[in-house]
Amino acid sequence: MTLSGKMTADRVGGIIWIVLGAAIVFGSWMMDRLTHLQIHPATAPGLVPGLLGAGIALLGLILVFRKGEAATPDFGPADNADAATVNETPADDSLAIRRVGLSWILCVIYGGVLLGHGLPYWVLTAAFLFVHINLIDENPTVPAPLSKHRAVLAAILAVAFATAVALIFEHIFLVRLP
Amino acid sequence: MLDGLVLFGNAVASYLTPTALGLAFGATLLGILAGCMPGLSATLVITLLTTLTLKMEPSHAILVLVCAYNGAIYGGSRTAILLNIPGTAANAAACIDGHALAKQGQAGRAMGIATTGSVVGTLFGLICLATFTPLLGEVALSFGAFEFFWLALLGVVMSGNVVAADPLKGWVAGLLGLFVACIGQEGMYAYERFSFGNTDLAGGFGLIPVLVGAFGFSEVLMVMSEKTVRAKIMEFGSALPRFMDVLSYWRTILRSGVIGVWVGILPGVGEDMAAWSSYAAARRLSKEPEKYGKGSIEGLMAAETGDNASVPGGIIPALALAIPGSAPCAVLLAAMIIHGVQPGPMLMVENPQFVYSVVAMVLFSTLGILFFGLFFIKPMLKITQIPRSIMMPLIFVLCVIGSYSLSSRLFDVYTMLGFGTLVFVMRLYGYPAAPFVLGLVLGDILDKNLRRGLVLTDGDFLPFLTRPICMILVALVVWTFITNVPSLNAAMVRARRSVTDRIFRRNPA
Repeated sequence: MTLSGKMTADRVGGIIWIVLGAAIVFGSWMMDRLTHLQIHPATAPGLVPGLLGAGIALLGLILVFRKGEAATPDFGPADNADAATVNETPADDSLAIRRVGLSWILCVIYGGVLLGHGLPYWVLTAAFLFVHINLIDENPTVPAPLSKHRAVLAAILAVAFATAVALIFEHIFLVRLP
Repeated sequence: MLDGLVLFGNAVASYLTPTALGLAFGATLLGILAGCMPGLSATLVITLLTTLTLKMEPSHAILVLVCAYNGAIYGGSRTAILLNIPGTAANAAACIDGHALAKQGQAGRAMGIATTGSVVGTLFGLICLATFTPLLGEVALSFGAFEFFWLALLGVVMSGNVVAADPLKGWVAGLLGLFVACIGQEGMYAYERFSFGNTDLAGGFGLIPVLVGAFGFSEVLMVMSEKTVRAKIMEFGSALPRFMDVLSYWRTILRSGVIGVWVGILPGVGEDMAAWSSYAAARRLSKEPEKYGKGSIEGLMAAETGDNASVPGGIIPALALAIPGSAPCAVLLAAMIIHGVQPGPMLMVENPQFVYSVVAMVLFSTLGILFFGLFFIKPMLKITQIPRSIMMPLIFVLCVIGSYSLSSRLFDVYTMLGFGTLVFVMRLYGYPAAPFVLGLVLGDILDKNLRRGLVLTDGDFLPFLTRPICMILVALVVWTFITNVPSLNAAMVRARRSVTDRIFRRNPA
């Protein structure tokens, strides 16, 4: 991302924080001040969120109007690896976006849509692991090309891990599985 | 002093059972293994383990968490040396000289130095933990709502300032965390804030699901977005430390220990800053600064001593003030509260044995680090060969079941997914996760103490500014803010210059 691109991203971010901060301030202002309980106005429930909303909006304002170099938003190594020198491959941002996008979709379908809606936990978990391991590989293409060896490995791993997690949580931690 | 030793002796004795020893060494090994995996941060490890240890006896559960925490901070040095990628953020400084040594064929020696530095650093921190926690607890007994409000704010401001490349973004993340903590029923009048009539939201977001999302799911996505291939060095000699390596750098070790503990105590400043500060100080005072960056034993020793010394250092304010020293400490603090331990100034009065139990836990984890670090290197490194495409979905499954198991609600899984996605996007654009989490943990303290203080003063804010300790804390908050907002800083410089100019014009001599 170029410097101007980063600055634009910061400004857009700043606008989002201003809007969010203003919404929080508005919500806090409209909040019941509990006058019927005869509490001191300075201890009303909306005081702290209101102040925090104002703080967020103020920082957003500074982000929008400040000059100079912004921080470095980018797809790349996890931020805990920022300080290290890493060997970059020719892989580009679009591949990283596709990989993380596909992973996010699979995770949301598993955890946010299908979990707890009929399918037994271990079956659903095994299916999620099988699909995720098969579709996302270290290959330079996303989704990864299917391979028989990988599919067998994924199936064994998926069933073993899903069964182990289900058994441990159900019988040792006494959790009623979703 | 003698009472402390007796309590410490009792604590050590209480953990000399096969179960406790097994858990301590097992958790340390697990922490080291997780630390070895780039992408698995110490915070993620503790968060996931918090969900896995919910049903355990509190003393055992906290033992597992403390040992895994210390182990993870140490384990990250392995990948820093062999892969040039820090296993956890705390080991970034170790990459510089650790990997340089590995490239010279001295990976084993580098790992031995990292082990020695970590062990000595933790032992130094452990002594400080045992000494300063009761002292700080005693001082904190005089703290009121006013001081705790500023301490909570200072924690978020300092964390945002230090952790983020751009302090403004760190503060936004911190304030957002504080706001998220306000959602749901508040603690004074049980009024529902921002719940919009939703019964799940009325109870507020569960701390653990948000933490699992912020450090688990977002970490999974972050690792999946990496575009790197890691060059591995898997050949190395003996990792047994050389006696002379330790002896000749005793000054560096001691200095790094002091810096590590001090940085650890500062609210919200993590182990990574401890490592960098120790490294920078060692370089500045070194007799051979030219070797830094090219495989300096002293540099590696300083970085690893500093980060591990900050682990017990960060636990000091968490126990004495209930203000965490770092993001992993914030999770540890939450876990203690879940297990019925209430850290804070009253801890030394009500449950002094607990403080020394934590000291004993750190001691056991240090022994574990020494043992596994010196004798189990090769099997441990097998974990670095597991590809992320296999490891990450497994971790996500643990994130899902971990957040669900707390109260068997699907809402917690959705919370984890939502906050994981939010924190991932924020991290992509330079907003760090650590201040957000600190804000989340400190939100309740800040909210209650501000309003409690205002009740005490009948709405007068002045005591928040005029009490002696408050004045110091206010000055720190304001100074941190002003010096990091470029426009305010520039205005301050302009004002200073104009005053100086005026003085010199009036007194040209």
